[in-house]
Amino acid sequence: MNSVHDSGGAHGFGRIIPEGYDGKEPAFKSEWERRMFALFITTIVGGMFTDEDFRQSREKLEPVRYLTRSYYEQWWFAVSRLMVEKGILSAEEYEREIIRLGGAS
Amino acid sequence: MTYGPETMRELIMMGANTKVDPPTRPAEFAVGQSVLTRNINPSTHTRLPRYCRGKRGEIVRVHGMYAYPDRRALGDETTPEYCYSVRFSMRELWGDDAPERDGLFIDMWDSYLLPIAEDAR
Repeated sequence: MNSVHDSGGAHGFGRIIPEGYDGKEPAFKSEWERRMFALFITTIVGGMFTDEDFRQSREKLEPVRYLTRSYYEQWWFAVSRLMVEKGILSAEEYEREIIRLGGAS
Repeated sequence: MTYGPETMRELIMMGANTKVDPPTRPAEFAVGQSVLTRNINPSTHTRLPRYCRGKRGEIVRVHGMYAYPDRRALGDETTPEYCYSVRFSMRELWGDDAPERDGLFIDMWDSYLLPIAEDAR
């Protein structure tokens, strides 16, 4: 897919390892990221999707979202899209649940 | 392939593997062989980056037979392909301003590659 994820050779992204990086970045920066990882691993190990489905789902993210949302937010968008695509949730159920929880889809 | 909850911890620690061992056919390309990457632009998942399409490289290692990601992303688990480490010179990828001795090693599947004759280089 020729989407924004395929950024090899693009200028302007800066260094891969930021200046002054101390190597101590935690695996999870907050509890929701830990939960997102658990949601991902249980749905993929449960056979809901493959790692290729997951990558492809991330690649389908709108370019602006891909570039501006954090790593685990991208995971959420990818997994939630797959839940709808694979028929675990309907699009309406997903929207309703997001609104119930006070979020914006 | 699916896994039960009991293997979850091991999968997190070790990762999963789609290797077909033993492979069901011999490899199409051999170490040292010159190859040309295809110019493909699928609207679905591929591991062939844009900057590596239509480029000449050399097979440096035959990794073995694995699930072919481009097909697996379409739900097809039954068409494994050989995966190779292919070396591209930085000049092939980025032009004459790139350092002469530098190269990029990147994993490529059978469907990305075409053979090229040595004298065509």
